[in-house]
Amino acid sequence: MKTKHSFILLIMTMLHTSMVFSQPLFPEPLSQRVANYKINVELDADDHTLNAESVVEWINTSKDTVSEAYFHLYMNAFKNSETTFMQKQNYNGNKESDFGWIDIKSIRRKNGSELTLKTEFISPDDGNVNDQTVMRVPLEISVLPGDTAVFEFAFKVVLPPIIARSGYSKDYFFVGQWFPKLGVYQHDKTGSTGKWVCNQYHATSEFFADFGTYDVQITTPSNYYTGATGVLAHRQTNPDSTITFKYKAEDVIDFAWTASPRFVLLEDQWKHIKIKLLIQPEHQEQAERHFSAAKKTFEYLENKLGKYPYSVLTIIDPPVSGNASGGMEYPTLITAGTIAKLPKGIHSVEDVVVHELGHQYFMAMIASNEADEPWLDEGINTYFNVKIMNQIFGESSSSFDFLGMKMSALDMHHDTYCAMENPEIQPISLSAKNYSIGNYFNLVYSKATCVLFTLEGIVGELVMDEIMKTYFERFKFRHPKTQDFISVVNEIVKKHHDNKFGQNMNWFFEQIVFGTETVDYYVKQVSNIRKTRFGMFDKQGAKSLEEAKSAFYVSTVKLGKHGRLTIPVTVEIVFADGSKKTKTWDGKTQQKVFSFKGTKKIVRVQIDPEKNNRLDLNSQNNSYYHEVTKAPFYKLSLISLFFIMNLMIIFTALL
Amino acid sequence: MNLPDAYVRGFKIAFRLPRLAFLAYTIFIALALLIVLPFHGSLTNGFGQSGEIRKLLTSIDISVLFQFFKNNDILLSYFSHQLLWILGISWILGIFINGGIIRVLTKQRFTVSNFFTGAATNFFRFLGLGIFTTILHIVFILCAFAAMVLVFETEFTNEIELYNRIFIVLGVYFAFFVLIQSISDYAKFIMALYQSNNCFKRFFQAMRFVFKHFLKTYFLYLMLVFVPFIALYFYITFQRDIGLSSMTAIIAIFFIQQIYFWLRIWFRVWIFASQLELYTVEYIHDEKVRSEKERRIEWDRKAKQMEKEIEEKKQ
Ligand SMILES: [Zn+2]
Repeated sequence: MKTKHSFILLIMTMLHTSMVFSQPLFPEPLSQRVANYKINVELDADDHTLNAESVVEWINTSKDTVSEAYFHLYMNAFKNSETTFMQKQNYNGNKESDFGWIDIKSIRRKNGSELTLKTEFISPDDGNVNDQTVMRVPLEISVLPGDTAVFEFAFKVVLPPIIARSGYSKDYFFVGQWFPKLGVYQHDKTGSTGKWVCNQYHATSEFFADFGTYDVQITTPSNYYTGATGVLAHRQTNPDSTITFKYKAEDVIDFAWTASPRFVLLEDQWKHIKIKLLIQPEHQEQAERHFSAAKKTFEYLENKLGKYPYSVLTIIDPPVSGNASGGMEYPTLITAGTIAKLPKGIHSVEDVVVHELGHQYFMAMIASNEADEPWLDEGINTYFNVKIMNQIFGESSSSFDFLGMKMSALDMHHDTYCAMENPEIQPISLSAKNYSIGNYFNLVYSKATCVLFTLEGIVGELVMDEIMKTYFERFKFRHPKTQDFISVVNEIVKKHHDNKFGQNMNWFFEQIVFGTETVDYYVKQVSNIRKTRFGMFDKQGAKSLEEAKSAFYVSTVKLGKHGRLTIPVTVEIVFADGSKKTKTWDGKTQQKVFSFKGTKKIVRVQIDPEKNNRLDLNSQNNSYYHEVTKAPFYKLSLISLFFIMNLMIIFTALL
Repeated sequence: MNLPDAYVRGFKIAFRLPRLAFLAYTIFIALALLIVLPFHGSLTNGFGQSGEIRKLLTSIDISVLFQFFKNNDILLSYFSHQLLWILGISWILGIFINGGIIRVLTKQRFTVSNFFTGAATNFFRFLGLGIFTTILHIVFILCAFAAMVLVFETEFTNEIELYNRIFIVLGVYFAFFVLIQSISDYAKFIMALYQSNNCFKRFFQAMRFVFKHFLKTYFLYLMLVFVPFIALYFYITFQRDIGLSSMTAIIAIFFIQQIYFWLRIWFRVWIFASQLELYTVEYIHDEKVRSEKERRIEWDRKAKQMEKEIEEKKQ
């Protein structure tokens, strides 16, 4: 009945809708618009279900005649404990409402054949017969190069309690990865026959899709407010106590939406971008923190990469009970996440806004295959995440500055990488499905961030900026791969440094992106041997006696390296008179000795004083100070004394 | 006796006994240094000639500490063990010091021998009481924990509601905590004054006293919680404002810290004295009232008996 009802609604509003939807958002398409969707969905808030119809248009831009189509049915990941997603996730459920799935009621080619009974579930990644997240649709009439195939779906989604981005929590709904979504028909290399790239839904992976347009009508109970990808083109209340929101998005790779009666809608503007914040009433005091972080991120990314072309950004603040949907990115829509009364010194809310907004560039515009090469997306985005947080809060306290304790966001990623039991366990270049959840974050986010900062340390900040800008400009609205990024690096480094770091930078990527090598540089020994010069010396053809009065020092700095990773580092040597010498160590050997002869002793040695190498597993042994300042030791002892005395007084019941 | 009276009388007694607080403080600092000095040594050795320690001067850089404890992971478990030991010893020490303080207060004269005699003679008496109150505390902590589990498992509309519930659980727990501590103090007085070893009997006797004079006894103990808490706030604010980024500041803060602890212990002596005064005065008053009442009853009984005898004689 509900489907019928939504069908009538669809017809009733079609006229108006077609007018609203027919006006383009961009005068010229920004992308190829290969996959285009029209969806009409109705939310049954009591049953936590969606009844929907969609029209999917796929343009065959390849040179192949394509006789099948692949669709993602992501929602089936939550169907039972045996799906590929659930096997890596700790999830317990014992009643029907604990699970979620999607039922395809019908699928047919427009003006053509009925396909419903011909579909089959396939598991291209792992052969898991219990996984139904990919559907193969054989086509009786093949799609010729340049032709368009149009599919008509009727489907029902049963939403799970919020898990991994999607589902419901009481009256809060977050609906992502919810509709039958086309895979990407891609060629491995030029000249080869293409194939559908349509990964199953893995616990660690996110998504890969073609660009296109989305016209989506969402009907909810009339007291609900929605937020979604794209712009809200129209809103109308219906006679049956429902409300329909019409959203339109162009040149995007996905469409997600949210609905809840509890949202407070706040708006702000940055240049051409309307920033809509759908916030929980109990978090409203933090609205400015969301807006400010978003505006600073836009400013930074526009400056460093290029323009955000869309006219809107919607930030969703989920309730605490729905926080599993927080910290997620969809085109022009991100979910943040916070708790009421979050202290200002804890920058987590800003961090999540900055991170997810960064994905508007590295995911929404640079649409690399996140399932296959997640580091390209999460790694590069986290690199920018850290840079922006450093700019907003200052490097030393970019993560938090609370109760006298500080932490930099970059140090946090560095420490995460260093804290791994085995940092050499896997390279960062693998497909998402090959990582455990823990290693995925440690390597794909944290190590990748350290890798990019180290690359910046080697080639310089300006060159790195140009690399990123070029990469963005060249590959926006396309699907670049790791090799594309490396090619840009090699090109720009060559342009600025010629062969200073070798023929190209492949040695860097081979060791750190495709390889698992690690390194810990350390100061092994510093010695200053006092010597005097005396005896008979030839001076202007005659022998003359020099007495032992002017002392000098033969100073030696012995450096060592644990691990096999080779990264050039600079070494700063400071002498007693304050003079400095800077040496470079290519790091190709496990040891290095620098010797000096002069009248002053070495008082300080610092490996990598600029902290360019962010992959050093132990930074504590990178320096030698002849005179170690005692004050910090006393400070720490004093703090511990205070802590212990207080505890003792409480334990003696003296209070 | 009203509450201000109790404070004033307690203050007058405590004012004459600064050395008592000093002695207790000395015992504490000596014990604390047993762990802090080796910790200082481990820090110095652990960092060696590294310059990273400098980053801890202006603020506490968590990353530097993380690296340090990663390189010296054994230290963390070693010092947490040490800390547990010290806290265990503190618990026993608390019983000892309480005995000394109460004796000095009852004699109203401080001598070291007076203190230690009290500490020794009351030790086993208070040990039983200490075990009993600790068990009570554990029971209440478990109850609070169970309540907390329930709070998290019950549906909530948003976290503000959750915060409020947590606040209520903690508030109720705190109210009971103060009550047990307060009763335990009066039980100590009774045990010391009557040289009694029966901790259960005395605890329940003290409980009757506390409930009879509930507001006075409760607020007296409440002060003992709030004043140090406020002092702690001022201390932390002061330390933050001064900063610990130079040797001079560190030395200055060290002395202020020691004064803070001495004052805190002295304030405990003050409250102890006030509680003791309150107890003595109210108890004597109660006794007077009781004996007066008994006398009247006796008198009434006798009068009735006489009347009866006269009646009988008349008949
Ligand atoms: Zn991300």
